Amino acid sequence: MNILIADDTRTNRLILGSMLREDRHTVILAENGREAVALFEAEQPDLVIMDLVMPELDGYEAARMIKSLACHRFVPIMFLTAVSDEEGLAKCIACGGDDFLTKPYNQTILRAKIAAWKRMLDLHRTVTAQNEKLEEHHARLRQEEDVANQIRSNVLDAGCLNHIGIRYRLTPAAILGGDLILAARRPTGALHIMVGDFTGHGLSSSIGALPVADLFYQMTEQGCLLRDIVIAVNEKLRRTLPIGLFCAACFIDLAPLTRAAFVWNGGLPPVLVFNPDAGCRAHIPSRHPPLGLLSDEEFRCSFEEIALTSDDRILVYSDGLIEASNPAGELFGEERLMRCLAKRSSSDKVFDDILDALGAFTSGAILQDDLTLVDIPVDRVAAQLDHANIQETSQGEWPLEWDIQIRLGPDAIRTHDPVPDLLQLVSQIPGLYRHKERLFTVLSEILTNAIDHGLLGLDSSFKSSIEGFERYYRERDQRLTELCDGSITVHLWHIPENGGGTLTIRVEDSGPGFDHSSPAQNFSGNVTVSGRGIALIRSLCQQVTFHGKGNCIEAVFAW
Amino acid sequence: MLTVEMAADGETLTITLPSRLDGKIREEFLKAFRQQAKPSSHYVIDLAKTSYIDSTGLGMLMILRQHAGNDKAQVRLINCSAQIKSILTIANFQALLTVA
Repeated sequence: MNILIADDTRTNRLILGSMLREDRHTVILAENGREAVALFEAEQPDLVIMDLVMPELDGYEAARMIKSLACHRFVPIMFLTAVSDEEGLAKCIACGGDDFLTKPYNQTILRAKIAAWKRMLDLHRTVTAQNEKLEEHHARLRQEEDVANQIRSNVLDAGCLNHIGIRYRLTPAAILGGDLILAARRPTGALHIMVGDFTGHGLSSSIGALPVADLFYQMTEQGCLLRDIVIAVNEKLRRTLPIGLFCAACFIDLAPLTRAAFVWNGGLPPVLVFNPDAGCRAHIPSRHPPLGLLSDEEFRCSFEEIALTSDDRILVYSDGLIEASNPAGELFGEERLMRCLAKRSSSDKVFDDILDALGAFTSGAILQDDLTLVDIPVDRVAAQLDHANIQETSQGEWPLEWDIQIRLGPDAIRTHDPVPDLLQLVSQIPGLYRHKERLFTVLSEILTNAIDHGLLGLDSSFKSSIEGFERYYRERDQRLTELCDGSITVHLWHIPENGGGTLTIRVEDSGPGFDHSSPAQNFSGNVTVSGRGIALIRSLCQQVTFHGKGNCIEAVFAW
Repeated sequence: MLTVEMAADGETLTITLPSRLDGKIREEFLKAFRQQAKPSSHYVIDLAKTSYIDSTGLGMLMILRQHAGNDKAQVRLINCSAQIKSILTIANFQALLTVA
């Protein structure tokens, strides 16, 4: 160690100095307090051993100055003094000294004390170094949280949550929250809303929100049904989240035209429907486990339908709201929430009423969990949706008139089912998406006909029994494997017509055709397994015609 | 994926269908009720996840009806979407099966 000795008696300095050098310390000598302060500054010793009574500046004063110079550096000062009265010794500590030993001193004790101080200094250095590292980590973590928060906001804000009349409060317990609110418009005009609450809070629960938001927005934009989105989100979370992390969530499909909401609640507190005339007039409790737990097979996605009336508001909240506690540790609770609703204040005030009551209750207590409250005023949201939809239609950003033709050869027919792709294509036409399910049946029927009867020459009459049904498909598989020439041409075109349009599906196969003048099939009295294909197409389309030798069918779907 | 579940009383067989009821799942579907030693008295077909159906799918429901005893069949289709219901109505299935 580097040790500063301050003593006005030369002999004392020499004896102590040589003893310390013997113990392999470096020694700096000062003759008085003032010199001690100057040398301390210049040499930065590790330990100071100081006499009390010195000329120029005494030990007390020198200690004070040294301690203030040392700042955050820890340099122990040990007084070595002839003073032995209690008051004088106590003052040593009071003015910044760390230890004292009275003269005449015992060399063994002094050595022991120096060794103890060395240990203390080493410990102090280790702790300081660790502290610095910790602070560095902390700063980096904060910076990363900021960035993560930024990413999170960017992803979450991608929807229309802030432009559609919805009010919400999303208060995370940490910088990063595990609650999320998503809203996005389907091309058909309906609104999809998701409120989610991941287990825990902070970074780990926040991360889960990102894939969910992405999937939700993407699928909504593509026009997927909310039901399919719920299934996809559940599956995504089940695959990505570690065991123990899951997401309580509620999904709402708001159809402004029909004034109906479809609600799926898995693990969140009841979704409430508030009306100023009736107070809280409906609640949809959680009927499913949270997302991310059940496999596709176990997962149930049945929605509950709520008919909406004017002035209705849908309120969704996370358990952070009812579990917010006041300084005494009481919970806000559902009852207090219901009391806010029972006031039946004018519709617009409900949201503020709840937050005011909550604020008054918690009176500044720190949040233990993320808190979310969403207020969906149905009338206003519907108006905003209509407005947005009108704007969008007038902009006409969709290709409304188009035409596409594809030809499938034997390999393509064997390995590829073109129906999903074709369906995806026609669903791009705004408005036509609503008829996706019907179009699936039509496309599927027409293509099955072209392949089974046109190309493979199968006769559906032997499908009438279970055995026949199986024989039919065995035969079909075999003929399909052996198919080496022939093709199917699919031609689709769409022409817009006052608000709707006409989609024509023309499918031609290279087979021999059939006698299309024979009587048309119908459903009444048909209890057999087959014979519905053409009848289905006829029922779902406005016009169905056969061309050529019966190997070309043209179906017109007007909407 | 299609799932099959027998109620505790051994009388009701519930089959939950995937998103499409068409020829692709015919083997699974037929197996679901044909592997039973004797036909159940009640069948429930859950279409909560099903968006699409075609005539092969309708045919498969008719096979189930035959299996369950034609006119005496107790087959209930539950959780049908509006779209599925409309196809079932077009095909006159309300007269043949219980659609809920």
